[in-house]
Amino acid sequence: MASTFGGLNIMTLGISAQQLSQNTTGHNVANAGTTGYSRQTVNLITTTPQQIYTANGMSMAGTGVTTASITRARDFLVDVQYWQKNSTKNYWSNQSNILGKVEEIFNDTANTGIQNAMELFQKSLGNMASYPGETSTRTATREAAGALVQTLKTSGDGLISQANDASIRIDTQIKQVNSYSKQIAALNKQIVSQEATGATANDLRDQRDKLVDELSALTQINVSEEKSGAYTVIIAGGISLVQGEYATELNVEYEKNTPYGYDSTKVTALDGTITVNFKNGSIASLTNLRDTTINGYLADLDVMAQSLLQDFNTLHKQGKTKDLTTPAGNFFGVTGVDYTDPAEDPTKKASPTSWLSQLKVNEDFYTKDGYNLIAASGASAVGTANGDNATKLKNWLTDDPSTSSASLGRNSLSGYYSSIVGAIGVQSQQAKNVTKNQTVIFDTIATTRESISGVSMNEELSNMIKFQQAYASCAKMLTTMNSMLESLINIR
Amino acid sequence: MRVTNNMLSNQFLSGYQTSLSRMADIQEKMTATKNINRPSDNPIGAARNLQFTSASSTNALFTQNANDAISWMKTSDSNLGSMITTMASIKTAVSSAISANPTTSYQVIEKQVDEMIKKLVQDANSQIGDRYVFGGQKDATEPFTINYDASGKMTAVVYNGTSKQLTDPTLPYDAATNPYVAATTNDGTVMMQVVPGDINAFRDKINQDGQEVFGDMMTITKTVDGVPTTYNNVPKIFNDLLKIKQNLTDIQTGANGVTPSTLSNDLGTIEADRDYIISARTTVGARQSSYQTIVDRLTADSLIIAQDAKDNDGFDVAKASIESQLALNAYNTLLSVGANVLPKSLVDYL
Repeated sequence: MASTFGGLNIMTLGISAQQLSQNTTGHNVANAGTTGYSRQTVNLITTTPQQIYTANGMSMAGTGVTTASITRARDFLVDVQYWQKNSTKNYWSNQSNILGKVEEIFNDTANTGIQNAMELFQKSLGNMASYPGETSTRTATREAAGALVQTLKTSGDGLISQANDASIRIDTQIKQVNSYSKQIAALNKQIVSQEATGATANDLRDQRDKLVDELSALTQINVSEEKSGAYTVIIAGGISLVQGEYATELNVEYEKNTPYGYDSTKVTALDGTITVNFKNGSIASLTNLRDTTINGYLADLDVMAQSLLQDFNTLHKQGKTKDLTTPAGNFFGVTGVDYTDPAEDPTKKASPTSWLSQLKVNEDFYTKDGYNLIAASGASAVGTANGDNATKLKNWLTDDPSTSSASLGRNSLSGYYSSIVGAIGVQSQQAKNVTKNQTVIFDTIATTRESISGVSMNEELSNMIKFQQAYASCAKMLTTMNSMLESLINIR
Repeated sequence: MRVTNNMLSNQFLSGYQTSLSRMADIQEKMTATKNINRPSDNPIGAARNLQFTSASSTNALFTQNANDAISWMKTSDSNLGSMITTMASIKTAVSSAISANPTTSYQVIEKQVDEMIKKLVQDANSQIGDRYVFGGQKDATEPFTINYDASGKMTAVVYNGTSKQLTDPTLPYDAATNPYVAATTNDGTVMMQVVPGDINAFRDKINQDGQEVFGDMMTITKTVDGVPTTYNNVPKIFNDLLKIKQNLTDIQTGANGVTPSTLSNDLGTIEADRDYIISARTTVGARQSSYQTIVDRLTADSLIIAQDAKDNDGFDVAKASIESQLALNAYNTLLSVGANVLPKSLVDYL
């Protein structure tokens, strides 16, 4: 026989269960805009049934409802994919972003770059070949050469500042990594202690996953969940960034690149005993751009500077100066230095510098009547009207050489430059395309995750009505049972 | 698939970004009227574009050179024409001296010839800008100077420019025994480049030097003011003319055995010398017309280069306008759909 007041008890449980469900719905709606929030559901189960004896034997009678748990809608496997794709996407978006800036340095589509400076130099040499005796063509050649040197150096400086910028950003992002790993470790500790009772620390877990999201943008990570509920975060090279409540601190050491002189960084862990090489994510992207891409283009510019100091000077020395007797010296660099001599290679000296840093128009040309030292006339010249060497110098800029040069190989200077432009174009275009593809892939995963964890207003509102109705019905039941008891009490 | 409000708004935002960036892209192309605005827009096209700008700048240089060469040749041509006229006048004057004449007439004729030689030297020293056109590679030095003796009589016209030289300048040219010094072949050559590649003395020569206009450079020895004097680099034609002038002096006195028949022979010399100058003028004329052809070709080339560069870029205003219209339509649709769908939820109906 069931207890007389058992019905009241069922309805009390019902009311409080519906209220809890309604509150959770409220929590969901309130957090609809919270980043990293996953919707929560109250899992209700029936309470243990009561055995009652009826005339026909024993029956099980329901005793009401209770809350088994409150869980968040989350799929760890989707999270893992999300983190992986986020790293890849950020790697490429950084590539595309910085290559976009690098290609502006080599942008000649508006006739303002290195190509234009080379053309003006070429044209001034051509004019000097036709009018070798005139001061104006000689000074124009000197100035055009100066402009070319300036343009090459400005481009080099542009690349160096991009490399420096990458190093600063790496430094900042390592600080972020340290901050995230500390927060994750702290949350690990809280989650472990809260979940020791068997409950799920939904909101703390959401916060922790959000931090892992942020971390995955910076570098590729491998996340696994321990039995205790703590996350172990491992980065490339098997270094565990977070283990339980402990976080590994990463350090950035600055160094100077040789021979180009930009700031470089080395990331170490465990008091400098381990060097960290990141994979994917923005840190790896920036490191790769700085050490491979930008370094490579600096080397290309350096080759151009080297060819001007070596091949152009050698050709210049074969000509005759205006008075036909003063021996022709270097056009670029310093008079008397033989740049083809391995001992004069600035990149191999005790304190290495780049060829580009040595590049300048011979300062002798700027002294009084110094422009007459430009060897416009050919070796066989007998008068100032001979501009054969100027023609040769002009042709050197654009015509592929018949013998391989130590710097440019079988390319002319302008041919070499257009191959640089082609290369950066292809690289930047590829980065843009991959970024687009990776964004689509990432968006698909993000949508899947949103589909699982996101709050749907309409769903919550229909739940709200459901719980409201259930709550009202429970209350009505309670009233009805109350009146039934009243009827019982009033029997006399 | 479960669809949430955030999914709708994310999708709207990403569509909005895509649509706007497409509009920005088309706008950039339209304002620059170019499809290639950075190497990554079309890597191959951007690299080819460099070749076109380089070709266009070379074309401009060669066009300028060809025009300068033509004006150089025009100056040469008009002065050579004037020299040929002067030579004809000298011939007329000398032939009038052959028939018997009073001494005063000889003096007048000699005076005329004297003036005409000076006129020849004046024409030979003509300039374009500040460059002497007949001086070979020494374009800054006056190429021809007249030497006088104490009495003010012309003794020799000397060439100060550069030209090819005879092995023995005291003797006339002979292919076998007295050829030109090989190393001096191009000493008088002034060149302007009008075609790509290495410069070539035969192809790119724009001038006629002193030797080509006035004959081989001789070394002569004369008694001047009673002193034997050696003159180097005396052009043959000037040497001939001064000899003829001397003959006109001598015929008056009969000195050195000069007779009217000597003067008849001199007429032949003048004729031959005039032909020499005419051949220089013919060379200049022929070269000038070929340069005119080159200018025409360079102009045609520059149009082709411009067209190639345009084709390489491939920008088409009509196509871009249509693309821009399509992008705008897509943008409008996106905004309208977003505005209708995003604000609606169940709460509107409760």
